[in-house]
Amino acid sequence: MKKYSSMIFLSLLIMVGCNKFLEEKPDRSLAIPSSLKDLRAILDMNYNNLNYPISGAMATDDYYLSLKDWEGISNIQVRQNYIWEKDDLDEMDWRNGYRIIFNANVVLDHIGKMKTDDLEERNSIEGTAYFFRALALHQLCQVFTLPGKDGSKAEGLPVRKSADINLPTVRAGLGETYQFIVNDLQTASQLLPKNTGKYKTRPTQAAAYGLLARVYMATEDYPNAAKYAKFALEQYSFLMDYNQLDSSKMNPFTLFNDEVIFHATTAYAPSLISSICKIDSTLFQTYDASDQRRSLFFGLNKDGSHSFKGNYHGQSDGTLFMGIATDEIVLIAAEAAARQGESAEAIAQIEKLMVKRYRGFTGLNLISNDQLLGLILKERRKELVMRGDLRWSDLRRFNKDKGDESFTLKRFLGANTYDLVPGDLRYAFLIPKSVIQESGISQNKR
Amino acid sequence: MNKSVLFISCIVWLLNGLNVFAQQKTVKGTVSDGINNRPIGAVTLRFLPDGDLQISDSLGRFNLSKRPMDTLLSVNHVGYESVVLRVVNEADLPIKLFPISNRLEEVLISTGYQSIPKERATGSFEFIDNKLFNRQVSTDVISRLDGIASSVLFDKRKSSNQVFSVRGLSTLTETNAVDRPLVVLDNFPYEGDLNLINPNDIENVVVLKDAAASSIWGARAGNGVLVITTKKSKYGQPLKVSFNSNLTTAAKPDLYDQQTLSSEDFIKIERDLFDKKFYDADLNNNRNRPVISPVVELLALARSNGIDKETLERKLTDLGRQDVRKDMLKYMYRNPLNRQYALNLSSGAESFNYVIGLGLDKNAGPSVGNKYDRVTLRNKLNFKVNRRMTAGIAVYYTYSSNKTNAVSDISPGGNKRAIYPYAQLADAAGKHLAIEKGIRLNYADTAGGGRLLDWLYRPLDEVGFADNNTKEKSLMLNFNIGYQWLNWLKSEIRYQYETAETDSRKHYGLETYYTRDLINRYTQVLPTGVVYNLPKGGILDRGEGNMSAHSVRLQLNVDKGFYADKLKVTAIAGTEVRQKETTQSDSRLYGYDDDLLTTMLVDLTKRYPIYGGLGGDALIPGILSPLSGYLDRYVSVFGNANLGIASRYNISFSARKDMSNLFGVSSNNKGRPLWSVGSSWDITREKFWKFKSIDMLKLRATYGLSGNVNNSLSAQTTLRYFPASLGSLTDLPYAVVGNPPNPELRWEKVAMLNLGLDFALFSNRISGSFEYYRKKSSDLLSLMPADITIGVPSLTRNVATLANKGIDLTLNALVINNAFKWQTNLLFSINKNRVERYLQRPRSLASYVGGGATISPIEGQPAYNVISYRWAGLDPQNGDPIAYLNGVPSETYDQILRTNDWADLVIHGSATPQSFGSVRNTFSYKRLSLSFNITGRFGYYFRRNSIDYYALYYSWLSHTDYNNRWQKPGDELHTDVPSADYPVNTQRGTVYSNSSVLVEKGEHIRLQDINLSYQLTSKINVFFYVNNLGILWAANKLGRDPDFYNTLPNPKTYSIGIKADL
Repeated sequence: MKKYSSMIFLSLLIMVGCNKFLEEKPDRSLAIPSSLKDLRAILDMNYNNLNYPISGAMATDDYYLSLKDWEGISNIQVRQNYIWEKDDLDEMDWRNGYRIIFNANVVLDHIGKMKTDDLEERNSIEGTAYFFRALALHQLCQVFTLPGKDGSKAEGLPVRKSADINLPTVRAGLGETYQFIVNDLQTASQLLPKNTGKYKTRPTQAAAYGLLARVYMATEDYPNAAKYAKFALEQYSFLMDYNQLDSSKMNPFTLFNDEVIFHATTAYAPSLISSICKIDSTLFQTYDASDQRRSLFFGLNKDGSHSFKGNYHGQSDGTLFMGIATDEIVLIAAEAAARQGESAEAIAQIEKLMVKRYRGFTGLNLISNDQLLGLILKERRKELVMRGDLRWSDLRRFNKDKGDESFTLKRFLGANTYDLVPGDLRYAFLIPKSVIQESGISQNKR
Repeated sequence: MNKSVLFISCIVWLLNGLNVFAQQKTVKGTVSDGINNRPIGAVTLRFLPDGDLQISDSLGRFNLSKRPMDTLLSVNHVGYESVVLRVVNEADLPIKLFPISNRLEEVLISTGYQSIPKERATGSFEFIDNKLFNRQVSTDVISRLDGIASSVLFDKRKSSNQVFSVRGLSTLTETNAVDRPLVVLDNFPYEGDLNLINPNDIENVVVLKDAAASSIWGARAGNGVLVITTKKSKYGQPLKVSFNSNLTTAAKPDLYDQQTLSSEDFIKIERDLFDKKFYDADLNNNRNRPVISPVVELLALARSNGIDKETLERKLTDLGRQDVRKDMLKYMYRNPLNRQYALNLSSGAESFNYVIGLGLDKNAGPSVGNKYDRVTLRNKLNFKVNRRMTAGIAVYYTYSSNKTNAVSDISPGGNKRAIYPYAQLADAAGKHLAIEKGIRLNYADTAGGGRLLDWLYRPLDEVGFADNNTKEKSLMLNFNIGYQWLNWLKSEIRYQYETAETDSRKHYGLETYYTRDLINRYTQVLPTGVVYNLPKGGILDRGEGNMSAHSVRLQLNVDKGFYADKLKVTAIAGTEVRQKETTQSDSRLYGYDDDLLTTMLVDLTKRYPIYGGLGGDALIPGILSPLSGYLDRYVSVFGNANLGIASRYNISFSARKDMSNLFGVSSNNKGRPLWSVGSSWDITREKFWKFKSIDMLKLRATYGLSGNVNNSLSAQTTLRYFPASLGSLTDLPYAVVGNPPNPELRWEKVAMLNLGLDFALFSNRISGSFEYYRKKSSDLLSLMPADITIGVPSLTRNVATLANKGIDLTLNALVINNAFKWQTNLLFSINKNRVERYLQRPRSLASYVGGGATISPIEGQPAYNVISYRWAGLDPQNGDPIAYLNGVPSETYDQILRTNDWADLVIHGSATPQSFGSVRNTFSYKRLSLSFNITGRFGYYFRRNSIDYYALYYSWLSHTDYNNRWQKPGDELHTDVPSADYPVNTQRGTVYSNSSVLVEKGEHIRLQDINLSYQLTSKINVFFYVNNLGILWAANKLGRDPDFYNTLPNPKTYSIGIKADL
């Protein structure tokens, strides 16, 4: 009898334990977001720092390709991008951008349910999620919407407020889209920690202010740009002295260098690898002999042309640094001040930068306001060459219509010439076909 | 679910309380011959252990007195097999005895849950008996089934010879072995490495093909089930000793069969490219120092006047005479030798029996340096605890060691995927020579001015240096108790514990190229001295895998006849709990000293400069994903019943519910009830049946559901954690958000209808079966298009449907039955599958183009498809390939590669055979027996490789089609090989490589093997076996083996062996 009772005991055990028995997870590395640690781990995924839209950067006048190199690129969309072809883009930028937004939304969807005593970490995580969502959406706007100001009625982008896949995809107005970005960043700036921690892949308050300044620049809201640039610089304003750097190195700048406030890079572009991506020669000529950037940013190719080696992430691998760095913020502060007629502030800011960039720089001579703005824009052009898609963003700003600062971009391939005139609709790339098909949102005009 | 478990427990409980009292009574009966039904006289009958002896009369009648404790009746007669019967209440007992050796073997088919006589089965079973199973010679179990089991198709596209399917594909998921059949060893799913099972321990193999046969395995049976049964002993069996040994060898692989260019041709191409300055960038590259072939080095030297023209020509002529294959065959390959020894002991007494199996395999593979050893020990012990209770215990232990010290790939690496054909591995004196590897040889030779480690790669040295070994240990413990409550009711508890440990070790000693190269790269030679950022010592990579599985099963068996066995009920019901846990950990140690077992520490977080600027500052490589752990749990209830009516009608039912720990699904949704029904009718047993020459004609029909399990998906938002890895921006672990929530997630469902006809004619001289089936897999997990704005590129949902239909035909004929015997066995199967529903569509139809190596579903087409760009010949002007764009011939390659027009593409058809079969003929005369197997595979296509100029110039991959290339106008009339272009247009190459002109029919017939055996004495048999004999006929007109078109065919193997039964 005893023998069989063990059998009965076993079956009872199974019966009771059955539900619990099947609750165990099948893969130890799986988890359901249930703690702050899980949410932090989602945000710590490198993907969120590495895959920002590149289409804008590929379309700038910072560089050129030889016909042979252009033909050697196997990705058709990359080739078409180079000549501002009307055909649609690779899905990559849209996918990457909205993937980062999705990650941030998963965190924001769950953060409310987390019970914790560590309020500081909780706030930091929430702020980080808002920051990433804003950054991704802003960079998407630079590629897929026409340039315009805050409050514009033009078409913006789908604004996704939750990771719920059942939410419909609809295009918000451009003004509404920018307002959303700004709101996220305002919230983020209240939540993010002040001091830079160990990791520059995690945003800080300074990064949120810096990004706000960048967003306001793109929308030509110069008073706000000046305001937030100043806020950012109050938190962190260190500039490297280029006179101290070694230009013989293959990559003179290192990953997480001292000017980096927040680290991020674009996705990879085959047209931007240093072996084929050649710096515009007119642009190169604008760096005079005393300008340390001439040798720190550029390497000499065998054919006499120049390649770019000045990435702030220490590599020349076809991706570009596009995070928040002090030099960009100083330039924003200077330009925004100049545009508002605050010459003294503008001069103070730009001198702060120039003394770290030129050999034997002693200060600016007295110049007119117009000249000052011209000088600041020239410095911006030279300092932020190949800095993510900042040049593309600037081109959009200057060429949104046939204004004073506008000009026509040109590409030469063999016997063919391609133009991108001011106000051209191609300043907004086409949204991937599959997105239009699946969601039914309206396509950008051609 | 809980209720059913409770129910079963209750029954067990109730039965326990039953007391069966019986009074002494008499048992009458007759004994007759099982074959001709004649009564047998003078049969000895006795109740065990101490009943009175009785002898049957001349009419076979007997009359026994039976005490209450008498239950086991032993029946013996000279010339007949002894039987022991269980007698409880029967008053009238018909006993059948079968003549020894003449007995028509009653085939018992094991499903893993029960053994059922074949004639009562309604389902579709493929039975491979011991004799057929042992016709082939192999180290493993699975590969023996190739060509001898109907509906079992081996996938020759895979490098492993153990990938097979039963009745086609049931899922669209290729990962996590979701598409593999379930393998059952004795009673439980086998979770370990299939190579660890010794074929000499196997009694028979059963393939469960249709729903009635396999649905008892429920959610894992969708791809078919293979039940492997090990050898058993019997009670009351005298000691049997059998010994089996064989030796197998083979030719060296036929490297000359590779369709590569000769050294002379290759040098000619290199000279041509050199003149076009193709190599100048590499020659001038002072950064990465890419490899440069010896010919190009010589040409460069000559250009800079380092050597005169005459010397150059002489040296090039010498190189042109070299052939690396000669050295490879001489030094890197050998005739393999596989030795197999097996010893089996089995014996049984009244109350216990045992089997002991010992096996030893020692394989020295065809590549010098590779060695595989396996030791198996199997012990199975059964005993009768008392009249009602039996117990069994089995232990199966396997140890294997796999040394992989051969140099398998001597290509230089990077973008160079083959070595130049004139490479020399050793000089005339046998001294090992260096070849290009990783970085340019003439740089590596002098770099560091003697202050670095030797940086040259001598492949033949590496064989001696390599120290790689993977050891596997597997232990299975099986324990069971059976209790006979009533003569028709039995309960069983089975428990199995399986554990396996894999310990892999890769020791790269300091003398190995791998270690020397890595250390050199992380070395800095400074004026102040040499800095080693990587310790000067060996590198040890270790991997440790652990698997453990527990299975418990409670089962009730009912076997009862009513109305004088006019109605027979055989049923089982039970519950089962299983758990399988696997863990894996990998590690790397630097500065390892194998003598002292010392290691040194390195800083994996720091970036170090790379010697000579060969690369940017880099981290020291560590292990990417050092730890993983998986846990699968199942709880199942099952039941199965077979009603036999009037020995000619059979009706079967089965039902099963499985639940598993699918992640994030509430318990209610974790399971899925699966069931089957079936029936059979043996017409020849009807009274109206008059055709004497037809011995058996049985119709069968079944329908049922089984499933496929994929526990890797989840219903909720899940995170997958990853450790900080090489190349990460930070040292932080991170998590990736998986698929978005899918509350509808469920297991895949496979519904199958099977209609069968079994027949036997002319006193069983001809027998066979014909089966037709339809199989529909629905709720298949597959991608469906998603709006990428939601944040994920695609969604995986239960949305696809796949349909299979087919025929299995088996025909056995004893054509001549004299002293000379001729037996023919024919197997033929047709299986066609169609994707019926699949939602994901690519951006352009051109992305379907391929050789069908992976599943890319198109509705209305087979799952594995060969699809090409439509070929339109060569351009007569310049030999450029022409394909179609929007329906018209075109050379706009970039557009063709993005075409969205079916008119531009050709769908050839399935990449896997849609019909296949074999004919096995056995001739025997007295003691000699000769058998050979001819197999055929039909209805499929494959793509042959051809010349790819980009691969030729940049990767050194050549192809003899180069010699047939278009060279001048007019050539297009007799060749399809495009002209050599320079600079290479890769898109042009891609269009040609994937064009319809390179697709061939795979249909072929081959002579698979021959077995010649001789019965030396009544107990000793010797045999000679040859495998992989070759192609008899092939549809492609190029004279090559379609299953190995782009690789090397398996060499013929030769075995001799001896089997002794003592």
